[in-house]
Amino acid sequence: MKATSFLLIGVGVIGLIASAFVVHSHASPVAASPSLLKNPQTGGLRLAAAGAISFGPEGLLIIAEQRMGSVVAVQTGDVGPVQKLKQRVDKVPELIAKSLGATAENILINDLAVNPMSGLIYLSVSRKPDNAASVVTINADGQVTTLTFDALPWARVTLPGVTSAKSTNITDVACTADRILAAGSCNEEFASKIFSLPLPLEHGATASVYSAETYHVAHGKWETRAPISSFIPHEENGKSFVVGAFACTPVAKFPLDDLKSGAQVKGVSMVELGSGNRPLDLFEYEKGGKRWLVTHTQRFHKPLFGPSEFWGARMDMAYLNSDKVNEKATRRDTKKPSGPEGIEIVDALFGAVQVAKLDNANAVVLRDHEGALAIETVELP
Amino acid sequence: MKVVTDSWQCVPWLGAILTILCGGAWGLLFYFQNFQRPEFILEFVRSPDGHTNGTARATCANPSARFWLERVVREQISLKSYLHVKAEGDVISNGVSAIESETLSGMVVIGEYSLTFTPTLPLRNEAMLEVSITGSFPRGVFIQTWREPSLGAKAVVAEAVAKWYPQIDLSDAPVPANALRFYLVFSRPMTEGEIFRHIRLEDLTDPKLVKNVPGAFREVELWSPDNQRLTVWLHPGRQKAGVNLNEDEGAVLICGHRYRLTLDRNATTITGVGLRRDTVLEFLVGQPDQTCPNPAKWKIQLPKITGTRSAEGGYISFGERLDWAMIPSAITIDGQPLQKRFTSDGHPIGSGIFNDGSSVWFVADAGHHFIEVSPDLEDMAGNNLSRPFEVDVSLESNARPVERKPVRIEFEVRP
Repeated sequence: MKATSFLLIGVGVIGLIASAFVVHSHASPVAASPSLLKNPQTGGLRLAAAGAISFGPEGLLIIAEQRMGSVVAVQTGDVGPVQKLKQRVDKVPELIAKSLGATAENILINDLAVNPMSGLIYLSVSRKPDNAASVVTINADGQVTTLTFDALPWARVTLPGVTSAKSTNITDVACTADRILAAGSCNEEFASKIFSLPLPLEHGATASVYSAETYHVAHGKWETRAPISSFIPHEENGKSFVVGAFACTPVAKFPLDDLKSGAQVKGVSMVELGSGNRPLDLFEYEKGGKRWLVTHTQRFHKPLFGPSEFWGARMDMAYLNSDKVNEKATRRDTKKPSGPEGIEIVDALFGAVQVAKLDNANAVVLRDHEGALAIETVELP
Repeated sequence: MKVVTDSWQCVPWLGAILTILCGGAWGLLFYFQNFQRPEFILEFVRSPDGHTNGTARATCANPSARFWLERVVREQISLKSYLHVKAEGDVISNGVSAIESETLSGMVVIGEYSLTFTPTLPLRNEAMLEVSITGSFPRGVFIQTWREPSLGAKAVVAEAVAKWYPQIDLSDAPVPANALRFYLVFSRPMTEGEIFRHIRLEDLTDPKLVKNVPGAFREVELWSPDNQRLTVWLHPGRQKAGVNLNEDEGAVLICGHRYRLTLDRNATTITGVGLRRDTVLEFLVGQPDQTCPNPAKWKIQLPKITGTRSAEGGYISFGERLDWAMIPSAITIDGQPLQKRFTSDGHPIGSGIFNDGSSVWFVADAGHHFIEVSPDLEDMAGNNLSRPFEVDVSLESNARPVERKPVRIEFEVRP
């Protein structure tokens, strides 16, 4: 009896010791949300390219495989709580390179997005010379981690018209409550197209994509099919629009309601920012009772508007409701930091090669710091 | 596989006491299951030619450790952090420099008795790899490390060649001053991201002074999915009338001037190899083209027939250069895209385009045939069948909706 008790106690002790070493740190697979993904895949996602990225509801990450003309939606499971970046992170390309078997000069950072639900920073990157693509995250502590897709549900849709030679280069992606939007330009005909992909995104569902060839009127006389460089979805009086910035730098507005497949959508120029600029990012935020549209831009002509070719401006979104359009569209005063009223340069964005909204008070920027790209949070005016 | 570190830390006396307390064969089994050091055999997953993308598989070699590995798997412990792969040096370059050693990002899949690590991005070329497994097992901690040169995916080191399209020279008809697009076609997939550092446009009009044309391109890289074709836009904002860049900077091309497009040899393939030579295209510039292509004006030279078969090909001449890349998909003959094909007995059928984009050849047997042209087909200046590139919306004639439908041309080949 005594011996049996001793044995049981011994085994119990062993069990307790053993359990002390069991670390339940396994990352649980993310359950696919039927409202976001239809016929989702799990695991096995290899990105052929990683260009523009953006976030939708419930941590849904939208990735443009720009050269392939396809859009990938990944349910990251990254749903908060919000933890903002605590301090500047230096030498970001070097940190990324270390985990991807490369050197810093061989890493290209293609886009930046912040998950509004968590504050986690996402970067789409590619490696030279082999164009291998990946997504990395930077958390509040500045820790760089490669996003692994093995336990994440995802879906991919290739835009219509893509062949082995012909493709739609996706310039930007965005997500609304009920659809994913993509803008792109063809590598053959001169056309600017907006693609609307309904949510839940169905894996492989090319047939459910709607496209609209877009035009806008420059100077009231000439019509152009210039490609949209960057855009945001915009709601106004219950109607849906895309607000896009073009290589020729007007900000134009396109109606999206009743979008029919193959339709031609004609937009109107609302604000001219000045020539010689390449729009990189757009976002909106609300402050002081006003909604502001921020354009982040690279200037490729002299003179520069400040200490860097990379600069940003904000405009009062009331301009988007103005009846002064096309040839009468408001023009930014390119000789001054601000003007007319409600349009001004955002000093905090000078030098930023990538910009993304964090919240209504802050943006995250990637810019040069002492010879290497650093990521930091800046305050919005 | 060379093992460089192999350690096992536990409390051996505790094992001995417990074995005595438990007694007999069961105790002995218990001892082996708990205290015998686990051993793993590591191998890289290799292709038949001996190369690897960095995928490493560690298989548990001894039965007692398998017991615990199975337990671990059953209890769903993440072993991701237990398997580390380090690469020394720049794993991209061919010459391994062994400057630093960093932990690679990757994914671990737990098998029945094995762990498989796959790097997030495949390794390429040679690198010194260090793989270590750190195990926190019930009675101790062990670390097993291997170090071995890894031959990454076999690198194609051959140089690539490129060609500009449309292929034209100074003796050909001039390019319209409002031309929009040229294409570069490569013999191998190319590196994205910095291609415009290697492309320049020069004005050769003054034989004593070669002038670079600044801001000539819309520097957005438009690659084909296979990275073997690049669309090079002359900046549309400057080539198109009425938009602000054209008014501020002027057009890229000037009528009557002579130009040279150059892709320098330093552009690299995805294996990091440069081009064999600079790739150049010289051309003259003529008047702008602001009219839509009109298939009704195309000239069709019918094939010559021997018996019922085409003995000599026919031609369709457009009378201008159309967009070289769009022709194969935008023009069909008898419903077939332009493509050379053969019958089972080797008789040529089908069609193809000439590299200057001004005509196509085709083979057709005796009978009725038709050509269909997409309304989206453009010429070099971006004018398509439905509308010119530049539309003056202040003109009443341009206010009406544009009708976009294919154009059909029918023809008869007689024996």
